[in-house]
Amino acid sequence: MSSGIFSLTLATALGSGLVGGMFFAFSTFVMPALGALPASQGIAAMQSINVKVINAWFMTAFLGTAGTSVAAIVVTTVNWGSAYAPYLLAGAGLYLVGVIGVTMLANVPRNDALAAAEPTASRSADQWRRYLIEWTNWNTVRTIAPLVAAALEIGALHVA
Amino acid sequence: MSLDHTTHPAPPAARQRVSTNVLIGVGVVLTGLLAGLYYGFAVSVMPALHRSSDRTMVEAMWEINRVIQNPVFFLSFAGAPIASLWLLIRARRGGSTPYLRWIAVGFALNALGLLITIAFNIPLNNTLDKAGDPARVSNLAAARDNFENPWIAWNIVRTIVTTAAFCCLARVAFLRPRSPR
Repeated sequence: MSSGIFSLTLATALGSGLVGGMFFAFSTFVMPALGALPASQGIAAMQSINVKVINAWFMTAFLGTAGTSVAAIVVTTVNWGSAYAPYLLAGAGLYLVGVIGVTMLANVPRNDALAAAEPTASRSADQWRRYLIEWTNWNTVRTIAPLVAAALEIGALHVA
Repeated sequence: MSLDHTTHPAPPAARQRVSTNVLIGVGVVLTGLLAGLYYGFAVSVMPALHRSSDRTMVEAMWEINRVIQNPVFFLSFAGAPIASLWLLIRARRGGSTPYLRWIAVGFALNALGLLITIAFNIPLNNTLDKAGDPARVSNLAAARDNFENPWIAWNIVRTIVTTAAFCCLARVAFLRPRSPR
């Protein structure tokens, strides 16, 4: 494994680990805590989270890892005979499907719907209860996927 | 050596090596999980709560600190330092190896992250907790001022320290020779 591929694999593993750990925090205690607040406050806090998450620090890990995953897939197709290729390909593919795909198809549409909700309206409380269950379930999927991806990429480093 | 020998179970050294690999993998992933958890607070939860009212900020942190006292969080919180300490003890027993220093630094950084949590973040959580049920706290702004900025600062420090630990332990996975087949 060249130092370039080593750096790419390490960066992908690190980004996957950070993103997975962040979503882990949401599934295990941020969402249960917001769910324990009065609905209007919980909705307002989550709306604020969804606005503030669009920042350079988060996007660097979230989209940067998507970029390194695509690069990693290109690298594995070029170096298909190497021992690390299957691990790296599986990890990178898992991030793209399990994090980027799930976020775009499951979490973002629910965020968009929540953004339109008026926190104090009674109708919003029902929407918030559904959001807490559905968004969090999909969030758990995009927690497990990048953590498994990170493990596969560490495996790639080891067999290289 | 007779052919018959190959049908016997693997010698102890080979069997241990496999479980050391699993230990490294678990240690790296738990360290990444913990770094990401702190990172999530640094880049998402705290910036969002910073915009919120004193009441929402204090109540949300109060609820988070209540929920956090569960076995799943304890595992993620203590798992990374424990796994890296276990690795260090095992590697030291095995004598000097090129990757021993990376395990040692990885453990030291994980331990430092744990110490920061114990010395700074948990006392700040406890102070917030002692202020009592946010619904009945008279001075929410003061409770927030005492908590928010120092907690955010120490959380950023432990995010960086734990991320560095991840890189050291990932380096171990790379340097460690492959198991014989």
